[in-house]
Amino acid sequence: MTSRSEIRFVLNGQDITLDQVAADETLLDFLRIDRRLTGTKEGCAEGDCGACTVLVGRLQAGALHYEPVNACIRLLASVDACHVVTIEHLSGPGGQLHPVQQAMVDHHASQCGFCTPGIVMSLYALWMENPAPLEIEIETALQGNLCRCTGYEPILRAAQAASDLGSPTGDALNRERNHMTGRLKALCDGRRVDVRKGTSRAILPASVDDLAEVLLAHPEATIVAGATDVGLWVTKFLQEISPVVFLNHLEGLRRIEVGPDGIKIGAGVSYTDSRAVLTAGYPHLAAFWDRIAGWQIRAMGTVGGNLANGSPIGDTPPVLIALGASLTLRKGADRRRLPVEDFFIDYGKQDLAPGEFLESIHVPQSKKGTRHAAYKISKRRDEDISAVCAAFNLTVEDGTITAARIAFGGMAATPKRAAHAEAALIGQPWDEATLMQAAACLDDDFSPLTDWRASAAYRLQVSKNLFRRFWLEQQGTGQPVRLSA
Amino acid sequence: MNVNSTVIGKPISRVDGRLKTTGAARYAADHRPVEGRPLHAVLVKSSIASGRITGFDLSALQSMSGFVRFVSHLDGALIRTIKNPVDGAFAAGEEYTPFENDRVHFVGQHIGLVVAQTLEVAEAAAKAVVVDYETSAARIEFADPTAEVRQPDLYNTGEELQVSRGHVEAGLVEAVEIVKATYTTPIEHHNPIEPSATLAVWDGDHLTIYDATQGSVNDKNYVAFGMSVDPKNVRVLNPFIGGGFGCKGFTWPHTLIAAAAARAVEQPVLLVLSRKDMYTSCGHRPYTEQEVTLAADADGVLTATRHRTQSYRSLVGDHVEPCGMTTAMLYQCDNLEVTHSVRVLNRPSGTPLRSPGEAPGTFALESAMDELAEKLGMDPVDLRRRNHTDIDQRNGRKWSSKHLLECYDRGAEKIGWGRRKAPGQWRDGNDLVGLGMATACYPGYRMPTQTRLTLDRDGTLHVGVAVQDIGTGLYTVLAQMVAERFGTSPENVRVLIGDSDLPPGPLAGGSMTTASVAAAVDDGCRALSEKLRARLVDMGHTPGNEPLVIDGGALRSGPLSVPAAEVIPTDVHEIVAEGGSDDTYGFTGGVETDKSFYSFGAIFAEVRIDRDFGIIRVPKMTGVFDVGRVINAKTARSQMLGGMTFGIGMALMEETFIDDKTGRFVNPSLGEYYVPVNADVNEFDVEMLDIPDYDFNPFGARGLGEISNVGASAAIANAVYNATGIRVRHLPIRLDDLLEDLPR
Ligand SMILES: Cc1cc2nc3c(=O)[nH]c(=O)nc-3n(C[C@@H](O)[C@@H](O)[C@H](O)COP(=O)(O)OP(=O)(O)OC[C@H]3O[C@@H](n4cnc5c(N)ncnc54)[C@H](O)[C@@H]3O)c2cc1C
Ligand code: FES
Ligand code: FES
Repeated sequence: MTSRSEIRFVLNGQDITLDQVAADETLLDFLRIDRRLTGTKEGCAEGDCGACTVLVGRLQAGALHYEPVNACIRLLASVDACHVVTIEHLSGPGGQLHPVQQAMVDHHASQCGFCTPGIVMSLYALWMENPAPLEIEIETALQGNLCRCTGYEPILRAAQAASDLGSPTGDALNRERNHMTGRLKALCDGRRVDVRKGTSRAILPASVDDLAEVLLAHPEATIVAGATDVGLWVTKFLQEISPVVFLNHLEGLRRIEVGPDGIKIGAGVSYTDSRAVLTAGYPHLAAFWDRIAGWQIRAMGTVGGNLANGSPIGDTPPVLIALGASLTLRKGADRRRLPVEDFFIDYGKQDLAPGEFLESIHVPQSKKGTRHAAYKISKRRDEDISAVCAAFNLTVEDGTITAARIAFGGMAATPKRAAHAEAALIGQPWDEATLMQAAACLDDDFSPLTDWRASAAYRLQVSKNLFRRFWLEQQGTGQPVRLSA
Repeated sequence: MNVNSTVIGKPISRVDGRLKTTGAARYAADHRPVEGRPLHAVLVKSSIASGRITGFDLSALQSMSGFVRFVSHLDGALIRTIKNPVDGAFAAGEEYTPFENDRVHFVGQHIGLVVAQTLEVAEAAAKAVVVDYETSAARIEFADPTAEVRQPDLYNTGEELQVSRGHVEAGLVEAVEIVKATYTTPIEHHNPIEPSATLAVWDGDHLTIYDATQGSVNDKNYVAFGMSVDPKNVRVLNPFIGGGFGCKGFTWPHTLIAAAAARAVEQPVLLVLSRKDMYTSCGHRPYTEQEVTLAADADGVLTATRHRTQSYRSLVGDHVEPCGMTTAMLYQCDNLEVTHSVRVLNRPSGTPLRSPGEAPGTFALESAMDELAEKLGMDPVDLRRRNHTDIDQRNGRKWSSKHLLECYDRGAEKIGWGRRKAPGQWRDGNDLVGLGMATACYPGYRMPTQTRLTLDRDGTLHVGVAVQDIGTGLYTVLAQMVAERFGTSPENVRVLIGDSDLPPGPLAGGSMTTASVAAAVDDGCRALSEKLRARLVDMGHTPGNEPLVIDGGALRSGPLSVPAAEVIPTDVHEIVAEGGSDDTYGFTGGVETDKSFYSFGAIFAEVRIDRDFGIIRVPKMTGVFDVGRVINAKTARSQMLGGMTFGIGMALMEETFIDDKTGRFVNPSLGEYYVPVNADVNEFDVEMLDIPDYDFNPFGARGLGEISNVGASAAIANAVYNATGIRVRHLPIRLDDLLEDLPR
């Protein structure tokens, strides 16, 4: 089949076809500059503030699903076959305010108003999904939105009040769901998209096999999944990324399969979409998952991208290493599998050949007798990178520790297992003394760095204290001991 | 004044709420010229801290399709040299003219501007400009021994920065307890969520600017001067501003550069600063080192006070962080010395940031008070009461209205001060818990302001004044004030602000807008009232002495009721009156009175510290404020919540790091400069005493944007001490400050 050289999507109510799109063009610049939809704001261009939040609806296994995303780092070409919804689409036909907007006005949740459209969009997404949210759910929905003026409290109250003013069943996006599903289906023609602007080029392969082929032909291409790292290369560092190969639209990479030997997560699965399956087997990951970035980033970013990016302070590598997860890497038709810890060779260096890509992540099923925990220590409660990230996986049989996998982030040039500490645990009685002895071995495992997030001494001390915290948590009620008030 | 007003003090929803929640409110970067598309501009900034530009290599730009022009100091007289920036007509962020010469004074200085057809090309072109420099020795490190040290006499309000009274040495001898300690506060950035932006549109020698500015009139005068045009020919529009907190107060070079470039290319130019640009383009709060000495007798009465502040300034900006101003006035003390010195460094310029001086200054002073209370074995609140005074210590005047003792009482009651334990003694599971408090205060300022009041034939009132709503709620507050004066509802009042063509008003800074417009609106309403009465008399009516009410399309006075459409002749459409006040309060050289004007408050904080990680949370903060009459309970409370959130940021996370070798800021982004997120903020309990101060203005309001940020960081630091027994004398309190020494 020939490839298509334009991207097509629906913007609010309108069909858009673009035959000139640069690989690094952002959705936000398109909205604000090209379309003059200036209700969506730019506060940072780095995914941090949420002022640029819009909804992107896409078909997933045939069903239309909307999510909030940061338009500032969402690359335009990647919205092919999607429905982009901006703040301008919210008010009713007679100009009446949407329930979320009305609640924001009533509760004085807007001061200077610059963060407001983004906050309205996040709360709109929440209200559609969950019209009567708990406070913690509201807080989770707002993690990716900064407000410098209001102190947030009025925004929370507005979120609680929105459903009193209207229910999502009558909302325009729901009323038009079937119609829009049809429109988007018509846009998915199964063809490869290959769009250019000048010398810049963006490719959306037609399938996973096609992706493999494209990458063989263009081993120099930048692979883009959720663009939550790559987007910053563009907006913050002004790097050239063309040609770009997008993979987040590929159904074949967005699949999650649960089998007897574990969970297989496609490399295109977002944080949000992987949450349910992972926390079903590993409930301890629920709170941890919710502390990765904010909603918008979790909706865009992938676990695969987090691994492939290779950052020593990424949050998922320690967790996956502790769980004993492995990866499937693919080049052309060749696949190889390796444990997650072996993927990280050195700072900024991963075991990934040119033309090769990460296809899936395999997480073993939870075993009986295992005890798990995952911790993220950061300065700011949310929207922060870990100073230290740690994951524990201990097997205890008849009061003896028979297996241990403990991995840390932020403690070395790569995410890394605490080999000495693990060795000090195995064969020892499951008690506090054993854990504290193992903690002392961290001095042999790590010599962390001092940076502006935290000092080396702090990192080491906190890592040791986490062993104590792990022990405490495993006692009594089994409830996690919360990291904060 | 009708104290039982139906509009003043009421929690009226902001009138611009619809525009803001629908995205229809337009901010500077959202505007477009009436005709055509603007060109896009991107700044080229210096990458060295000191030296000269020896040339630009633009060869890569010429071949870029869509590239229009590069402007720099090499373009000659694009901008008129500004010799005296604070000449009364305007205040500039920096006392130099952009593109004046080849000198570079700090990293991030604007040295050129690329103009292109699209933003994409402008960005690529700006990146492709190669700058050749001749570097010279830079003084970047705070302690650089070769840096020039200055002792400025006055702050920009005219207040003395070097104050001495009595004999500090003698006071020290009298004392039984002395605290002497050094406190430091970090470089902080305002980080409003809206980055600054300027759209400059020329029409002949007339210039229209859409600017993200806290002061349209100041902006106009500055740009007119720099562009050598009559200020009458410059119009600045800023109907909405996405926060400022001081960084959009004085006018900064980028506004002038955009205007100059637009004239040079003869097309409209849009310059939107990037988040990174914001770190070096429009000021920051400089780092401070403050040595505080407090001496007291056995009863806790202060016998001597000394507060020495060292800070820095850039080579081209004269901002001084006036930390000791509070110390000079707050507590009764006859022997006092307050000094300020600044080192001249190759760093970007400082500027006021929400409560400049007061916020870092009270961190030091109120931490020292806490230390003194501890030494004396006194309750910290009692120590403050002991040294309370009804006299402004600087000049012996009485306060116009001061109810600080009541703030202490109410605050202590609300936070449950009685629960407080000795340092390190309060445990709850893995947490250490503590309570702390501090005094808050902020000067009352007022500036000359004029207003235009209009009644149209529908009976709608219009009020116009060149002030701006940076989020504070001024649109709503002005409508309330006018409604109050004419006995009508705020819906009958249209508010026109954010346009420098309106009668002049002050910039939004120093928490002075509400107080300033209050006097002007009062006078404008009086003027309109007189005109309308005269008109009624001309029409043969005899209005009584009752106040004139304008409601439901009619004018009423006592039994008299006349439709507005009749009062206003068909050929004029409206009746216009102007009024205002030329008075200045709070600034040196202002109105001579026998009173001093200040707002006061007390802030209490509860903290919890995780023993294993040293992570600090603030589950509750209480603030009780004496800020005069509250005009709108919603907008006022909102200011307080925002200010206390600033306090949490200042205490626990906000900090910009500078690389002492290169002079670069290390973390110029919202991802790495931490402003509080929703989860960092918990329960706030805010109360305003709401006692009018009619000596200050006819509405009795004193302004309240900044005070809630004052004292907040000290209250938190004092609570941390109470929880842990560890005294942290620097801000922010870092993750690693506590862990090692926490009580187990
Ligand atoms: C505001 C913000 C907050 C954040 N907070 C956190 C946080 O709390 N914790 C955390 O760990 N991270 C955080 N991140 C980073 C995190 O979002 C990313 O690391 C993310 O997981 C990357 O996934 P992605 O799909 O967006 O990857 P992309 O940005 O698309 O790609 C990242 C890298 O992986 C490569 N890549 C992607 N997919 C593949 C593949 N299948 N095969 C080969 N290479 C591939 C890309 O080429 C690129 O090098 C944050 C980011 C932002 C912007
Ligand atoms: S502009 Fe700040 S997140 Fe997009
Ligand atoms: S209202 Fe100003 S940033 Fe939220």
